[in-house]
Amino acid sequence: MIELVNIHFSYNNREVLRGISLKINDGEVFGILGPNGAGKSTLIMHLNGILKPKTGKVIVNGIEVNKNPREVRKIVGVVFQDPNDQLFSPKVFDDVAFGPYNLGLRGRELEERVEKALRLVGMEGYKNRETKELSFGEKKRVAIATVLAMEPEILVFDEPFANLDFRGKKMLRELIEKFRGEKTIILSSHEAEYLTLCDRIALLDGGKVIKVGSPEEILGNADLLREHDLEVPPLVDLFSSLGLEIPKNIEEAKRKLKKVLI
Amino acid sequence: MSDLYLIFIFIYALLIVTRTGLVELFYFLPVLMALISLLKPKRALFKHLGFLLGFEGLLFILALFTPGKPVVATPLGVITYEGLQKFSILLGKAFLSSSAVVVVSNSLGFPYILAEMETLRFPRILVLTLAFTYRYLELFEEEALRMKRALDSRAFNIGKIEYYKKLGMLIGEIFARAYMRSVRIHWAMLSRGFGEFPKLAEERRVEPIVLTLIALGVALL
Repeated sequence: MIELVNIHFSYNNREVLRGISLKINDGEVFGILGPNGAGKSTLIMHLNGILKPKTGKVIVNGIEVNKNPREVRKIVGVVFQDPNDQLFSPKVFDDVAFGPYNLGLRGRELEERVEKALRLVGMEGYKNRETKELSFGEKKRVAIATVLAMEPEILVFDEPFANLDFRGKKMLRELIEKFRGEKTIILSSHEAEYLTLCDRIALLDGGKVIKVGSPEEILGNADLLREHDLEVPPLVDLFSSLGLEIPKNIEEAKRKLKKVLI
Repeated sequence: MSDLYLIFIFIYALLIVTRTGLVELFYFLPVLMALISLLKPKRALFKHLGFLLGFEGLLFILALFTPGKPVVATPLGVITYEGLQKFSILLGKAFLSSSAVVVVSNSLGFPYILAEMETLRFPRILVLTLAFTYRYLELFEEEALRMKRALDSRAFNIGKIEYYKKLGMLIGEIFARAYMRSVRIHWAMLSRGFGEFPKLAEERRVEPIVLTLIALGVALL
């Protein structure tokens, strides 16, 4: 379980987070929705102690992050927004191996962990490739593999769908479904349509939590989204105007529509 | 056998730089040709080698004007027989030794060279600095090109001085962005339990044949 208690944080005297308090349950797929500059990435950096709050505290599985960040980083895996920040080694293998190596894995065990992580993101066979030769989508997948290789209990994705092609988005959705219930997954995005697969969503703006609720409560409230400069996803708009529960994906939407129409 | 390339380059370069005559340097040309035919690099390599030759030629151009028996007078000065000899030796040494590095790194890939450096126990900080430089150099080049294109597409009706001022600011911006990226990379490293870097390749023992070759090289010197 993740608990954020009254988090305040400033960059160069500009307050970016203003008293954030949240509770994220084990096995939950949790969305952080907000426009650009809302404080989403800054908040994510607090989850594994990369940034330290000015006041307040972050507790992960009972461990206070500020007191033991190294221990928390074994539990919380963060996939950064730009894969070029995450992939710093010349070769794919070295990058994916970086995390598990730091966890103490060596030899065959390390190789197997790398291969498994690359397989999960559909990048098997890429381990000997040079990082700089990969396309943006491929880099993004490898960046996810670098975190999966550490087998963290909590997976945090900062704007994971940004700049991904259809295949990449499909892979990511499948991956989230695969780990649903098994791992706690946190997704941040400024695009509401990608958060339909969340169990709960927190709407963030101006460094504050505006509202926490189910996708129906957050995404189904078109006025709330527009008030915070967020686009209402067409599917959500359609289902909420029909008074139907918001579907998690297009397949579910098709099933629900068939039920209503037939 | 794979570990031998770096040792080979080391010994080959050492033997070249210690030669004193032009004729002695010619003996190394077949060695370079043999290396090229063994590694079969891409055709683009020959273009790189051409640039390398030109660049090194420019570096040593002053050597042409070494005092001695005049050969030809140019607006820059008098080119002498001794100057030509000195220039040829310097260029020969620089080109023959550096081209071997270019041939090997182009054919096998730079990460391979880095892995070999690790195996041969080169200082870790040197290997890591080279690894980061290799990983991010192209990225910064791309970013700089994109920024320059953006500048060029909006640089209407401005004088050359103003344009170069803007270009200077652009270079400054690249440094600022590089710093910001380095912070984010550090965060990404910390997130994955940064403590010790992984080896750039599987751990490999330095084989006895490698040690024998090093000893042979030193003995030859």
